[in-house]
Amino acid sequence: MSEAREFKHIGQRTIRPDGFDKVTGKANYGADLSLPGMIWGAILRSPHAHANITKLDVSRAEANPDVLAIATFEDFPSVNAAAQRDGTQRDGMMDTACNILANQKVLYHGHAVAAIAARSEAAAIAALDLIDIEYEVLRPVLSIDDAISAQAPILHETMMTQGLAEPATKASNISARMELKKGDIEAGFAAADVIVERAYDTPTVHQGYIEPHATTVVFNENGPSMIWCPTQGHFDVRARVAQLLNLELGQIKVVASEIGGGFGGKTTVYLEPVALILSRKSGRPVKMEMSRGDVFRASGPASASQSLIKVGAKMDGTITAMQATLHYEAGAFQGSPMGPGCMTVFTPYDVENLYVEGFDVVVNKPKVAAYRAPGAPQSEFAAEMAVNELAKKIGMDPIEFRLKNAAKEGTQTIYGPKLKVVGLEACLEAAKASPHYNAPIPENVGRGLAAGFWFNIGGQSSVIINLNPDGTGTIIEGSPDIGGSRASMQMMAAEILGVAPSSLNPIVADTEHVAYNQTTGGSRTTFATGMAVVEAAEDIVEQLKARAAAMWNVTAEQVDFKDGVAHNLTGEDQLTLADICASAEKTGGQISGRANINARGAGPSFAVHICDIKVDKETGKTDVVRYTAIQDAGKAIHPSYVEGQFQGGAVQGIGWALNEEYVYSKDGIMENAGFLDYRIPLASDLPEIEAIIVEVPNSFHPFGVRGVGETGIIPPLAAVGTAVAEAIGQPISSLPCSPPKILKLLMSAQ
Amino acid sequence: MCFNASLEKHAGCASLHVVALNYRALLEELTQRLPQLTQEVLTPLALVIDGEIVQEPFLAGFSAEAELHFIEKIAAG
Repeated sequence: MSEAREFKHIGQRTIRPDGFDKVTGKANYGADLSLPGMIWGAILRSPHAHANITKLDVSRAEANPDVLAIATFEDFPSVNAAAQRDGTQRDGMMDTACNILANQKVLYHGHAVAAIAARSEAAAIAALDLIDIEYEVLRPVLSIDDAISAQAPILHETMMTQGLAEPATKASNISARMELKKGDIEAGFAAADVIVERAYDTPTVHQGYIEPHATTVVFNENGPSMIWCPTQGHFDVRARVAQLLNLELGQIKVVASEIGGGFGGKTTVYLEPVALILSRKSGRPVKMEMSRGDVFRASGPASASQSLIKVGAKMDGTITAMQATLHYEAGAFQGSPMGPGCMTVFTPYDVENLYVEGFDVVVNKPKVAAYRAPGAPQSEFAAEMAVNELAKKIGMDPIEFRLKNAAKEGTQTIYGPKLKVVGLEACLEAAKASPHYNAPIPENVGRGLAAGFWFNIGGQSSVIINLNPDGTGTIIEGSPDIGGSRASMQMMAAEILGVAPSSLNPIVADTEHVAYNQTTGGSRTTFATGMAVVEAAEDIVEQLKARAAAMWNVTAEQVDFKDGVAHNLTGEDQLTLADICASAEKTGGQISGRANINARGAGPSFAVHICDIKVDKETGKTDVVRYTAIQDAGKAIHPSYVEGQFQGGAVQGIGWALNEEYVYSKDGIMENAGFLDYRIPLASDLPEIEAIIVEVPNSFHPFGVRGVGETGIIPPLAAVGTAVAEAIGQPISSLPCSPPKILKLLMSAQ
Repeated sequence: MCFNASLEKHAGCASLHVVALNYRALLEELTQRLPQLTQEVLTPLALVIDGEIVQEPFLAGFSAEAELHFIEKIAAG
């Protein structure tokens, strides 16, 4: 992919193959499957944020005639007391198991304790009251400051901080420390004419996917048990359930239903293993669903964070040093995205001297999950806010300041490697030329701009393409479609095969009908599964040439295939793809291509966003009046879906910056576990998000694709934060910029 | 072979020249020369070869002049 190429289908805006079913309600989502004899599961959840379970007696529930099965932590054979006695305990699964069903201790409000399956949903919920449970309530740890204080209760008595210079000697709420550095940070600050140093914080937020978690399962002792659920990675669901329940992978089949949003939050398991335990015990299919409150309280939100940022520059705009100390909340169990946060925080800048230290901190909140570019929005918010403040201090335009220091091919990142060809400068130039940036800033409006970086990944994907006798075909992939990827797969295959995209039907197969696929996440699907589609289509092209050669009695080398037609290079003969398929029975049977790859060469992505915000200084209410998202897609296979990813990321980032936050009481009770009180942006809240696609091709992909799903959520936090700061004339250091906080800032300035 | 600050603690140096043309040879040489840099430390990590992140480097090969880094595997969102 070194020069501009002409494409027939790539870059067009085709109709998505799954669109009709989705807009007419025919598509089947997580809660839509019902089976004969099915019963319902319900979960008993903790009313406390931090407590020891002193009594758990399910005997009264067991005696209820409507109750057909009960599950507790002891039903996980991989980690339960029996496994501990036998020495077969799987240590790596302990946190996962304890998060799904608590083991002797609850660690957040809503933490699951036990599950009941009964003849109806109402009976299951009612029977939860028959479980006798007593708690010894402990003081909850609800913030980073609290968690790392010397007086803090310790959540896990065996957790020692990893990554310290000397091995830790006592338990801590800090699970890990990471350090990255480049150059001489002290010399860098000594060379600076101006330094900005400021602390920032971001709240716990939720992905806000519209579809709650749900599953329907059937345990089958004599064949594969079936799990139906909305997930970003059904192969990963299979693996985790198998590990938790000591089953072989072949004993489980997972069907990925349609998915109503994931954004990283549907990359793990909550209900699925519990439902399978209940199905095994009851001998019946079991359905379980989370309520919206359950989703907020007990699925995986994104980390709250605290960042201390220091940036120094010369008066000519050269940044001489950047330093960060980053704390990430992991929730109740270790494993925040602190690592990628540290690695991305300063990557948009080509700076000689860098130093980053990161900490992973447990608190009494639900265990975090991924959320678009996990870890990056928090740290890059802080860095971009400080960069904007610094640019203002030295009197430089924020785009010119970034162009002077922009990461480019050859820039040595703080995490080690040098960047290959990247599109940050192209994005900044596109921003500079954009109608938005060249429009005057309206009265009482603040304007902010920020950049963002995300790695993107490749990984394992498997694809089969089967052609039918009439030349139509099926693309069988294993990447759940959360953003229109079926259309992209269709278009890439059509481009190679020279047929109409609509003649190829893309389906997401279950775990038995296609080989392993990594989760749809990391902005990998159009890149990696797309590479597999291209490889499978190229496999078919070789077969088509061989079949045509057989019909013409020439060698395959004497056949060319272009735009869906085979040409006999020794004469004038031509055969279309459909002609060859129609004769397939005579030339060797059905034509089918396949590819199983572990894709390398993912292209990093940069974005630049511009935001105009108006602030009502009497109420503190904010209104986004104009917003532009600019991002390097490498190559936009389907521009509408690429723009949709930019817009979706921008809207979620705007919500994170302006209104979204988990609100806890002092006892750790979540007080806004619903969309009425947890305020995500509505379509009516926002203007059209203007999307500008920049295309700096990724040379490792046959069409130049970089991922686009994640980077778009990174810049909004600082673009919005800076716009609000400009509008009110006060620095912003804490998100969200909700009306009470804005009012407080305005009043403190008076 | 370059080490980030976290690995430098195990390696005792920021970089060193390694004679290896593939991942397995690299691991063998590193773990022999730097005993604190164990397989347990290195195998969960991705390898970056001349700027390209290879999440699963088991079969990865590279040139004698390649610049190599180990980094944390990138999670998915």
